[in-house]
Amino acid sequence: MNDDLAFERATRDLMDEGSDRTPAATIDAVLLAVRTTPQERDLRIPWRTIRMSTPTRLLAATVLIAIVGVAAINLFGSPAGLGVASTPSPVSTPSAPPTTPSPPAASSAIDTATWVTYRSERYGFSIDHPANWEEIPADHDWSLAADADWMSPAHEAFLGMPGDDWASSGLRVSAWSFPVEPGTTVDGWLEAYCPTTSEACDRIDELTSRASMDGHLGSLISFPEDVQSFFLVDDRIYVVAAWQPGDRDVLEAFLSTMHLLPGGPVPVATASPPG
Amino acid sequence: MDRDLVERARSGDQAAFAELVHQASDTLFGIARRILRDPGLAEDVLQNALVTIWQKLPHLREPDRFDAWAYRILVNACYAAAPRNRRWAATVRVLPMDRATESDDFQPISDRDELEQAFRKLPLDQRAVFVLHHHADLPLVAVADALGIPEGTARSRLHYATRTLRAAFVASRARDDLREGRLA
Repeated sequence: MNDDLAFERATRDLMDEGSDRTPAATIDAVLLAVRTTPQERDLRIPWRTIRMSTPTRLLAATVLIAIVGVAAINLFGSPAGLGVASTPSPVSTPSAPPTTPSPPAASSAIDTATWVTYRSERYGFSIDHPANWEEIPADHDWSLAADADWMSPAHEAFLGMPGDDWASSGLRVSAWSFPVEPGTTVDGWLEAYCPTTSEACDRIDELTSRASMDGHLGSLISFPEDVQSFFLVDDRIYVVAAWQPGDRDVLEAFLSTMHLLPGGPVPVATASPPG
Repeated sequence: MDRDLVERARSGDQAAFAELVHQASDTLFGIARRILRDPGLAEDVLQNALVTIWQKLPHLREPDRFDAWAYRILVNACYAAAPRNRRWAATVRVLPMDRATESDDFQPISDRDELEQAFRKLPLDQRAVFVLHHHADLPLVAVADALGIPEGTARSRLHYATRTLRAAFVASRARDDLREGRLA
């Protein structure tokens, strides 16, 4: 037998050995857990994917106030001395929105108060993560050509551990940044990046909603495979991703803790060249 | 996987999910066991992965992609389990051999032990590609799809894994040849 055939046989043996029958106890434990474990539902997605312009928001707020006002008058009756003319007027909106849109707050239902801060000099930001999660620091600068991979060692990555009721064990959250040519837009860059990370690039518009990070507006994309966010600040794109589908809340929690370092990224010696 | 079953499970039908588990668990267990080289740890990982699959099923928009989607969650769970157990590399159990009786001499056993040791030293991402390709018989494009990586990356990982295993195999053969030469 020549070495090639012997090697093939040996690797086949390595892969074929043992029984693949799942122990009954494992299946029983899963089915028992399923009885008391609710499925995750995207109840908020239809609301969040609606993009409202400022005039539309103004109109919606005015209509809402008018409805509440009429309901209040019907409920409690008109106060003495007030006639029909006292119906609330759209002009009386208590607080008019600013003329320029402000970024939505990066709020999150997940409590990040006890999280610890990770500082990335390489990529120019700090970000918090749960104290029990494992940190996996980047070992080289990220590039699209070499590192378009959800397990890329060029990511500042955080690995979920058991014990969080809001995240599954093994969830990987990554953050990184990279410089782009002046004039580059996130949408333009995504045309090159998207095919490396998802098969839903033709539906990217419907999957995209707004997000904010440290006061900067960006895009959050709920891909079928995972959830990723992108922010363009000073000719640099910052990316934060949760590598499982549907983990938008987790990603938003991380984003709410992220801050850009005042001095920007600092060149860091690369431990090993990208593979 | 049965599309109707996946859709029913996705809509919250626990009986459908139970059937789905019975249909998919052996395949998923086999993959986890081979990646981790530890049946006990693979059981834990499979359990976590299946519960995660149940929780996340409503997010699966294309039921036809269930298998690839489930593989990705499983590999995620493997990745999480491996580094958590710091003594993992030292305590892995050698898997039982079903084919030992096929050997006429000790050569395959020696090769297998060398490959086993070499495989344990592979990074988890290389193991995942190797197992999905050689055990689950997925073409590289499907491996890349399941793991969410470019096909070139999958090819590269398979190349490095194969190169490492082959080096271990060749070294094993060389040692055996040397031993036989001394005995002769």
